[in-house]
Amino acid sequence: MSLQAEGTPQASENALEAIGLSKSFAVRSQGILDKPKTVSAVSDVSFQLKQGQTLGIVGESGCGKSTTARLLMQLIKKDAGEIRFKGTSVQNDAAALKAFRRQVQMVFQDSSASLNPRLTIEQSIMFGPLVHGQTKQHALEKAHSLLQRVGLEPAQFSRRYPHEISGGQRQRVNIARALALDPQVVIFDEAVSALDKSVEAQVLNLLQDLKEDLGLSYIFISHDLNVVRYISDEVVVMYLGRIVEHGSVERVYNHPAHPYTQALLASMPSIDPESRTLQSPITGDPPSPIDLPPGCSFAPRCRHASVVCERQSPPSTRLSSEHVVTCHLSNPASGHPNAQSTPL
Amino acid sequence: MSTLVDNSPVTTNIPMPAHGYWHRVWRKLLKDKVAISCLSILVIMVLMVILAPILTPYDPSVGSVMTRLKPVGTEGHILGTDELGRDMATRLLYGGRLSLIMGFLPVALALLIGGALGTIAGFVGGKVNTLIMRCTDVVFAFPSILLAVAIAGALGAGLANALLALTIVLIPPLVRVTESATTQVRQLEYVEAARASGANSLTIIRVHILGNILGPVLVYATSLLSVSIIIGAGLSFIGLGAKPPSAEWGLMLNTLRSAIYSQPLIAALPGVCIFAVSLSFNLLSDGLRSAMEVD
Amino acid sequence: MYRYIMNRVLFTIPVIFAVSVLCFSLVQLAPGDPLSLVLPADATQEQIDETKARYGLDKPVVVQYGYWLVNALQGDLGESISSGRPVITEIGTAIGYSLSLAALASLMALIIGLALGLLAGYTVGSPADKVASAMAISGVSVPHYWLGIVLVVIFSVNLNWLPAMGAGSGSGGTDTLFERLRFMILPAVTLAAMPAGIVTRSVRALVADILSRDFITALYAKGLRPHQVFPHVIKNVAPAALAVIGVQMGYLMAGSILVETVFSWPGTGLLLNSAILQRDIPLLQGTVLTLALFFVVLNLLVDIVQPLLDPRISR
Repeated sequence: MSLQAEGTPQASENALEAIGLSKSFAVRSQGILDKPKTVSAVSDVSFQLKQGQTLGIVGESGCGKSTTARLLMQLIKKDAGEIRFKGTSVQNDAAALKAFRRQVQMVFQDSSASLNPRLTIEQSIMFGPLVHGQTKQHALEKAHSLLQRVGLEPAQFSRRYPHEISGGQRQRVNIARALALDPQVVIFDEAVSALDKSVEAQVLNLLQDLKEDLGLSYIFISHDLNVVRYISDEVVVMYLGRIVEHGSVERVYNHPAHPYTQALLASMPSIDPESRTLQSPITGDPPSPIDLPPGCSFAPRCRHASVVCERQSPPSTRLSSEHVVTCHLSNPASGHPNAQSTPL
Repeated sequence: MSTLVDNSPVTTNIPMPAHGYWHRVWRKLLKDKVAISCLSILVIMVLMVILAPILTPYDPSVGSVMTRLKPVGTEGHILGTDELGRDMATRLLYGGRLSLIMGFLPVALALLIGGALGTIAGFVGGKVNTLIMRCTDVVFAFPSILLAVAIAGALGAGLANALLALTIVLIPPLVRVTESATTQVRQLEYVEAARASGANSLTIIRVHILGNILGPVLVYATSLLSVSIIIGAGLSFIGLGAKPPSAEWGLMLNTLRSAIYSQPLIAALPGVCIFAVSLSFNLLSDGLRSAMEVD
Repeated sequence: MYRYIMNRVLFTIPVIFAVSVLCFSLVQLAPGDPLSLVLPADATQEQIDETKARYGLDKPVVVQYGYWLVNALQGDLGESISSGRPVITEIGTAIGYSLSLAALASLMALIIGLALGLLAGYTVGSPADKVASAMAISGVSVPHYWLGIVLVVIFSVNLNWLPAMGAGSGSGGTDTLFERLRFMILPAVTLAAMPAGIVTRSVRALVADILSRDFITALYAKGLRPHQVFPHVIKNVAPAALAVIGVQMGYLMAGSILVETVFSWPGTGLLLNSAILQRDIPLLQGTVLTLALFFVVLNLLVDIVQPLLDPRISR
């Protein structure tokens, strides 16, 4: 499912592109007697990150966002699909991988486990450049200038250890580390989720500034819909390893077409007394990804589910140039009794 | 641009560069009186056995039947003499050399071999891990004393055989501890970040893994020192290991058994040494563990 | 649950198999010609060949192992070179002694360990805790063979209360229980020192952890007195303590050689000792195999029983 047909002139503007990514994990077997089971973590995921833009990925825990991020980073081997950087497919050999690493970097969530407690801050930042062959002097200068860039005074912070600084400061260090290799794309996996709100705001502003100054493209993964709305240009909604809706932030947030997206948006806590949640939009618990039901994976919890939803997996329907949804409701040809071509 | 500058106070006000991990552990350990006493005792013991020739004029294997089994406090023999008339203090000092080697060497070797195997198993995972761990499980199926005795018994008496037997017995627990620690560390985000930087496995192990597993592994290895010296001396006690007329604490316990009726204090002395060393190792291990606890 | 048991049992089979291979290879490690123990130095070539064939030593090693294994499965572990009697008989008489000693020592260790551990866990940081912990770590650090000698010096040589060695008056079967116990006390106490220390340390940690849990505070808040809360603590601690003792009993059985040597206790440990001294290979092999198997089976039992006792351990 992609927003633009391949081969168009704009295709080469894509900083990063995922095509049909899939990944399953084997469940740890109980013993010799049990048959091996698999979990489908990510299923046929495709999207494009345009140059200079921020793509947000939202969904509940376990929907496959983090796995997608690691697939993009090539930290996990994909079962199927293709990754393209600036239009060229990324190969699997060691040299291509190392070159790719310079271009795409990641900032993780848990800031206390994201830095080696035995290394000083400058040592942590210098690690990447040193691995890629830069001289120690050069790497040191780079580390200091990056610390300055993210708002941490090098004289005070460079020789400190991670446990001596606060969570917000650690995340800034993580950002500096990600930037040390001068990447073009940075993936943020719940990078601000563990921070206090005030610190989160500071870090988000920092990210915006860096993006403009350095010409970066971002992928921003979060379960916090407000944050994603604030920082993203386009957004992808995932459920149980699949993309259910995809489009510009304006379209998806204001005119959500998929029942799941509608439910997510409706359950956002809000201080606006006009928009109180009246009923729980989503029922039940997320099913186990081990035994996925046939048909639409959201059907068991969907208020609008009908017979066709339980039988057939819905195709993706293009609602506009910036909005694609995967749901029988939006596809008049699906046979769903309430199907319409415009969102409810 | 004002949002870029971080005005939140730095957690510590010390202007000098911060201390590394091992420095902090050492500082904490220094405050633990029990641990430091044990460490001092051990260091003093090691020094004493190394300097044995200087500390005592006697030859550990020379004795006269005329002076056999003199009690503690006899003039010229501060700790008495053994059943062949040899000076006890001298025998204990020289014996300490062999006994302490039986304590340290197998643990050091097992740490190298077992540590390497465990780190590889933990880092690589998959089939390699299963292979290494299953082999470890098989050796683990034997209780340590039985295995040590069986190997030493099959190979025959002798210090080298005993050392080999002990090393083999100590490798599996070290493999387990190292593998467990490596598996835990490997899943942490900073290791993922290191992989994302494009580093190869060896660099990642060297820079990120080793430093972070060394703590718990070292605590465990220190407690193994106590086991090693007890089993090592025990092997000599039943005739496997050091051979007469060598001086070694376990062997001395054996040869002095007949003296328990006449000079029980002398008969018990070698065991006191073993007990003291073993206890010191265990207390030190406990102290290290406390010192490494996260603040 | 049954799946779990089946899985564990199935997994133990290759372990037993590997253990038997290890036992058999021990002999191959032994230097020197095993034949030299049986044949006189001036044996003719014919005699040598004949003896080789009789012991099966002329066949390849793997085949020898096969024969040995098949025989072992039928209960035939060969004959002891030194005594001429079947190995299985020798082990049979000895194993009873070792078992009784191990059982008594385990019981002692469990009681002492629970008592000291509870005391220490309830009074963490106090002088009582320090004393109990010091005793525990001493128990873990003491060379048990030396402890045995010290106990003999004190209780046999000096006080003459207890016998220094042996298992009884020798003629077998005519000793009263009290007499038998007299012989067992010192070796059992010696053996119990280390497991008692281990159990104390484990129980202390468990008790300290449980007492800090919220559900205990809730019980107190409901108005329960300490002696009423105590059973709750025991219920949580007992399964883990039993598991520790179960494993330790395996060590006691299989690792008793040093203590049995000190006390001349006629168990499998002493048997092992004489087998080594006399280079009695069949006896050595058979004893090691039996003890190792016992250890493996005991661990299996502990693994199976533990989740039954402690539902928190989900398998």
